[in-house]
Amino acid sequence: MSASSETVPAMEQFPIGLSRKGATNLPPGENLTPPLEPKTACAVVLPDPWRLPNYTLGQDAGLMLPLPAGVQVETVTGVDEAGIALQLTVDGVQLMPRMAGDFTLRLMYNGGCQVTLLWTVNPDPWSLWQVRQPSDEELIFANDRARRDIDDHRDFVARQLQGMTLLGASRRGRSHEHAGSFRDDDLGVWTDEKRGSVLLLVSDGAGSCRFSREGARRIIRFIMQRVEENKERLEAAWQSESAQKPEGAVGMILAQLAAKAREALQQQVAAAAAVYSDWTLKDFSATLLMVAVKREATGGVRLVSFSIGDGAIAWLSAHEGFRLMSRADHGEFDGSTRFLTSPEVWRSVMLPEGKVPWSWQTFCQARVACQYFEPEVARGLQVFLMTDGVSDPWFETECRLHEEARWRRFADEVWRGLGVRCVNVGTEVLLVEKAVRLWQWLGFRIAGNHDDRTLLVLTIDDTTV
Amino acid sequence: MRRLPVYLLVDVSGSMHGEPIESVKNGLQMLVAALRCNPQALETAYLSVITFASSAKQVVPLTELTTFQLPEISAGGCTALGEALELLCDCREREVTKTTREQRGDWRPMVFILTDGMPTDDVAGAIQRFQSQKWGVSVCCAAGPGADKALLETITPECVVELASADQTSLAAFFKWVTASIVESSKSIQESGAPTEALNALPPPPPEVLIV
Repeated sequence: MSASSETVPAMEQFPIGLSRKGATNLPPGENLTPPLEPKTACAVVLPDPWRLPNYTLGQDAGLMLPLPAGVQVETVTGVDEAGIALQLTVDGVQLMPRMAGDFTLRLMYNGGCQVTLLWTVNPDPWSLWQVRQPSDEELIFANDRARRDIDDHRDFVARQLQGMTLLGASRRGRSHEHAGSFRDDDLGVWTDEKRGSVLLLVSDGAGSCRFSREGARRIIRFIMQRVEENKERLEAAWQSESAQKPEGAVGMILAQLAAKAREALQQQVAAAAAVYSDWTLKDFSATLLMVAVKREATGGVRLVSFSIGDGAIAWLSAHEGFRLMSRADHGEFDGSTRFLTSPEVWRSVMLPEGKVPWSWQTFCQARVACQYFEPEVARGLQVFLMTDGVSDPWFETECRLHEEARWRRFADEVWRGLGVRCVNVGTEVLLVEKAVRLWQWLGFRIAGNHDDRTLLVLTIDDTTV
Repeated sequence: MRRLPVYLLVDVSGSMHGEPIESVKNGLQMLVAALRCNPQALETAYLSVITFASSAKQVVPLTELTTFQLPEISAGGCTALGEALELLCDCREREVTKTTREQRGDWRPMVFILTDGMPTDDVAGAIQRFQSQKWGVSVCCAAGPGADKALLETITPECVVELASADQTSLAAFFKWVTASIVESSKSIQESGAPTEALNALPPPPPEVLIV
């Protein structure tokens, strides 16, 4: 017990709610000897038991005991057993816990008075998340997956072409890590270096559908392959006069790539029916966001986007100017997300019984967005594609997705995470490191947001090509 | 962030005196301690406790788990279940955020009602008001043979559970199941973006908790 040489505090200092009971003026030093009846000697009576405010591990501050005036703490017992570091200073008493639990301590004060302290210390919320590996039994498509050398839990993209820099990363969400389940997100980048033509893709498998992860993967792979096979057609479309209209040549190609991807999935489900009769297209539900980018010889840039489902696509110019290119894509009544596989998405273009689709124009106008940037304006341009694992924590509502200021803040955070100013990221070697840093940045901690996260960023160098 | 509000309505009438009320206190303590160790529940679930005896009282307002402190509870008086339901609806209006264009509101509240006897006030109006709103998973628990199961079924037609008696083992089992249900719903929010709404998606109740 540490003796206090300070004088007994003024009797007038009674905080509200504390009663004055058996108050006695003790001369200095007298409190060295525990009195026979401690309670009666207390000038200030603390509540007994005294429940302290809860504390959560993971902060540095510790808890400063909210002591009323007139209380001279001598010691706190029980701290060693509880692993709590105790600091008695002139400013007060600080308790610094090292582990979580419900603790019962004993506080000695004012010459032999004592009360029980009850204290709840919460674990550091971030320490509770575990990283578990999915079990092999879940790998129904294991053979298929073994053929590709991509890590199931993460993915990176880092490329440069024609004065454009492409960075991307996909990360298994904390929820999936904790549950020991797989990443449902996927991404893809197709490039035609010579022509400065790029297709960026992200897809998010529906959490509630059993093979959605495989759905996302198949959709991306299918489109990547298909666009490679049809690159001449895409190039011709870029050259056509209608390239800048949603229902124009490029928009139509994107819409049809999506339609073909869905059709391919449908065929795969049908082909597997002999063995897996219970598979449905819905089991493979996934969103699809795409942006086709064309760098022109003049330095100008064309963007054509296509989207089904949540997540976001937006561009930000170097100084001022922004546009959200993806559409808010929820069911009209239930607010549920739409997917590439959802029948209602295709209702306007796919009539039953194989009848000829009749309104691709309307379909494209609803889902395709186009933008052209003159060479001057294109410099320093940033284009973002992301799944809802990124857009939800940063924007929360559809309304906020339309706010340029929020996008600027978001972009600042991304570049800060990468440790570079937004454009001119550097050489190819550095680029891979930046993609890894982007992946690390995607581990950002925003409570309540632990979904898989996928982000693709394309920037136009701000020097002339 | 969208919260998952959880309202616990606990009967603290005279018949709960002794073992039942002590078991409720232990149950609550166990519930909070367990939820605090689950990362999904810890940041999603918010708890409120409403007690009812001769009158109803919100002893803990809707509070996040990290700052939640166990209330002082003692038993005595009648069973003002009607007043408790009215108070629940009032608290919801005051505490639960609605979705607007600018912000995402909270999830629909989960409600767990524990009672061991017949209501002593007029419940019809309160039940009507409760029924006129949409709630998340809501469960009535008849603790022991004294509770009016038929009446409880008019409050939560989808789920009424029953304990053979309001003893320590049964109540502990009930609180354990409530805990597991909150964890499951928080998990569902974080993994598939929506809480558990279907009762059959909840963890199966332990043998002490019988579905009526």
